Amino acid sequence: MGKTIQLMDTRLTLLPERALLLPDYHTLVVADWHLGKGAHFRKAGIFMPVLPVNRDTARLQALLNNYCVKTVVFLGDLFHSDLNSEWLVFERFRTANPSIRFILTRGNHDILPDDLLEKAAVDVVPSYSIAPHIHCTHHPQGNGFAGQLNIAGHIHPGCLIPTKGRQAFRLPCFYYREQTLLLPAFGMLTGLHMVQPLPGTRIYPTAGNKVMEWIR
Amino acid sequence: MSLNVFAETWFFNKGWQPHRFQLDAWDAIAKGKSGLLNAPTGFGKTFAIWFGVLQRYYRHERPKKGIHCLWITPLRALSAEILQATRTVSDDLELGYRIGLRTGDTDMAERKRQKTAAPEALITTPESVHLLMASKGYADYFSGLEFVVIDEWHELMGSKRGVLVEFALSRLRTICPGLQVWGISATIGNLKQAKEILLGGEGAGTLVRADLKKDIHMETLLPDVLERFPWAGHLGTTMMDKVLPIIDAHQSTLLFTNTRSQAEIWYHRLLDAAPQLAGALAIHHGSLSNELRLWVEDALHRGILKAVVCTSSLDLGVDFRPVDCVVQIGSPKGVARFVQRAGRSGHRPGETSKIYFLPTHSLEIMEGAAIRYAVHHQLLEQRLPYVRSFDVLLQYMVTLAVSDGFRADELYDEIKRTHCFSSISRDEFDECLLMVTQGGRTLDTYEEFHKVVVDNGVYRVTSKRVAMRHRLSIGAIVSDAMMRVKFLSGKYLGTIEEWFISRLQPGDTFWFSGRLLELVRVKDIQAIVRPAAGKKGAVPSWMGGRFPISDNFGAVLRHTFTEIHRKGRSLPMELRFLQPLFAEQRRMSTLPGEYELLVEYIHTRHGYHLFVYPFEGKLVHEGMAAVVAYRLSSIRKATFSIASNEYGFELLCDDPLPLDEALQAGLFSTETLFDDIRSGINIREMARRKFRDIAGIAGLVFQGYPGKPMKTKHLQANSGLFFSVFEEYDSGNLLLRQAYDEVYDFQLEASRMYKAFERISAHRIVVQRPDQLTPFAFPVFAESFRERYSNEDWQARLEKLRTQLEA
Repeated sequence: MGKTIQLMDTRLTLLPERALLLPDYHTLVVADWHLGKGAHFRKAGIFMPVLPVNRDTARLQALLNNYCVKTVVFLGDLFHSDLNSEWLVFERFRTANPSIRFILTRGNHDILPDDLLEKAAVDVVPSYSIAPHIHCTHHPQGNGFAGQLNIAGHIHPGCLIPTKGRQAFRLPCFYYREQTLLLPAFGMLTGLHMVQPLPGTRIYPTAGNKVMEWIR
Repeated sequence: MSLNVFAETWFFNKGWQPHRFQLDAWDAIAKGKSGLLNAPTGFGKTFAIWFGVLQRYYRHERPKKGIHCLWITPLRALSAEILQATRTVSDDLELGYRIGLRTGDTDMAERKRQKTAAPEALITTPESVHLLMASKGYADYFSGLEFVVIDEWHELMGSKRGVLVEFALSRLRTICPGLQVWGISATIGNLKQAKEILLGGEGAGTLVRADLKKDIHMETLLPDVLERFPWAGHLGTTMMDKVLPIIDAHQSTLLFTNTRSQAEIWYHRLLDAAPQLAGALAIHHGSLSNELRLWVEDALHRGILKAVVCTSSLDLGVDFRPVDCVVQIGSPKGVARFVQRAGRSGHRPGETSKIYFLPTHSLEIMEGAAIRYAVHHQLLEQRLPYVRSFDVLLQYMVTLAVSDGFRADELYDEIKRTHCFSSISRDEFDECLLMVTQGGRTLDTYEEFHKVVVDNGVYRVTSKRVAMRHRLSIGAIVSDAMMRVKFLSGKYLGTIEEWFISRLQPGDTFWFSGRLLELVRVKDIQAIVRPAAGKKGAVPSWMGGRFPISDNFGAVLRHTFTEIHRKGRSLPMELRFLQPLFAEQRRMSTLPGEYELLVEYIHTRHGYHLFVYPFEGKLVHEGMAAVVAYRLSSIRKATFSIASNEYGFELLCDDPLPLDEALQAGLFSTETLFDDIRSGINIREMARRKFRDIAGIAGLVFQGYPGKPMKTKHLQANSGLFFSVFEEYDSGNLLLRQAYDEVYDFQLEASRMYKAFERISAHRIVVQRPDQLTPFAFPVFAESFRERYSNEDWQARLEKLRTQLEA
């Protein structure tokens, strides 16, 4: 169950699966999947159990099945590093969804050769505009799109919510500040970067099957 | 008794008389024995071993070339001192016995020289020895070795660096069968065990003890008016005016604080209060740059400093002659530590050590009486050695694989003889082999894992990149991700934990290195700063800075506490002074007797508090609190925030507690205790924290050398992420199990906790319901570091969160 908000006259559905749906544009936005990270660590000789990365794929597939999506935008860091066996997981997923357009706004971890991405029919671009006033990038652009909406990844936002009895929750979140909407990282092997609840920010933590708004 | 001509000549020339223990040590060494020397600093313990080493070397007509003696110390500062002392002997006696220094600071050219023309002795650290074992041909290099000396063994033994020492010794004993091993240790509660661990087994080796008792003069500084002294706090700066006259009256004073942030605060507050101290007051702690620390140490030697605010960074090491007074700010936390710190003053034989204890809140004043009792009765702590540290074993396996490789059976036999791994099973060992060769037990897509490969039964690292990264991460000290603090000009000031800097915005100011700095920008792992004007700034806190009170000190504290009901002159002055506070506690609640356990149940705007005061020390309280939380919540589901200190613990809940029912059901009983520990304590969170070090040591999280960052493209991940991943997808993993074992042994001290419950179960439980927080309750409540316990399910807690968020 997502939470629908309105930014710049645009309906945005924040999904608890850690993805963003723009229903009016039939577009799903996914940030920082970091597929291939586990295998990359293992290749470097770091002990890392083999993860069921297909759970991430299944989660994304369920979203594609449940909503009317024509375009999927990956906000960078789709694949963690050099080529390894986990890319096959993505290729299978791609083949299963032939009619959907896949776009990748390249991130700092996306160092796969272009021809591999081309073969998987992923359009690689530096930035992508869903509409004239909605721009997707990997790194948040700051004031780059004055007066318009920037949807970005890279940060892996998380928040620490203090509650009564001196306790706190650590949750991944959507984070909106100065016309920039940051998405939580999608992949299972990603950490959190704590963002601060500064004045003028809006924080939407995801937990279980809900997205909430943190009203301070 | 055999003679030592080197010692005799040298002592005669100096006009000195050797101590009894020095003669004993020379004699034992001459007979080819190994042993442990127990002596205080300042009495020539280095010489007690060193002349033995020389005598053994020159007993051969034509001594062998190459390294003859390894002298392992825990501290670089100490290495420099040993180097100087031993070189002086070689110079004075015109011996060709050369001494080299090898630590993390030794430059490449010097390392090369040590390789091609090895000195006779090498003064080094446990990490550097492992680095030597990670270079090809190390067995040849060490083939002429006859001696290994482990300095300050008591310090090393209680940490995983002690395991590094055990491994190094096990290897060197195989390479050099006649090896003589000598440890040097301060007095600890388990000296005999210390000797056995070092020398491999019961009854092995000689124990040489120096019967020299150091006089300690100790005084507690009391505030003028108890009523105006805070009930809680840990800074103690309100006592500033008591410290200034002490600094004035002495030549040179060391002020010890328990945390680095506290040192920063005291430093600048002292300068505010006494500007005339500028230039004669310095600060010293582990995060400051080497350059600055060396300058302070040198200035201390030369006697140009009136006072230095410092942390445990000055606990050990070099003697500073001019220091004639020590002030301990805040709880001393342990008896041995306190004695050690006191000993930093009046260093020379025959002089008295002088130490003032400065309490930071009312109840802490009691600790003055407790510590005096403990020092008087020599109740020094035991150092618990680490056992079954698989993280260090994995690291060691790769270390050997990086250089000349190892064979599984040989290595198994070798490590089986160490204390740390005497209980390892072949299955566990094989599992470690699987970890380094395949990345784990699972048979999935491990063809991608390349760390150690087996070649004809020899385990080797073949990848240059793996080898290099491993060499950079050898060691058992894990630090947080650190930022280097630098001026715009490039001058380096020291390191700060990354999470502290991440909370600051450019333009914010903070105290570091005794100065107020303004953050200009953050670049990669550097925080660029400039000096700031003004008075206000944040003070960084360092996670490594906290350490809990020792078990011995807890017991002494409890003993002292039983005295508060006594009347009259025999009462220690600290307790007499605290009488008004005890009266207040009695008025608001109860002052528990020797066989009573006080429980306070208080409702405030924060919620419902349950305070319990077993006086068992913080570690045990943390465990007890969790068990009590579990028992309460099995009556009614609840979520608690838990705080504890040396005196007691607090459970805070947003709903009322079923206290009466719980007491009837045996809230403090020993029945089903171990089950309740297992099922009740949030061990997972504790294990998660322990896993940080384990991940670093086992090579999961690569940090590079402190201060020498290396690019680790795409390989950054924090230990928390690894912990979650292991828990979910490889729950039987050895490293994960080790994290839990460390929680049981070191954090919960399950056996000690059982004793505490047993003791309490015989006590009368006094329940009070005061209107507000009492003098006992307040310091616990004010503890900023809290645990969480919950048995409410995730959904229920989320619902609560939601109603709170969206109300």
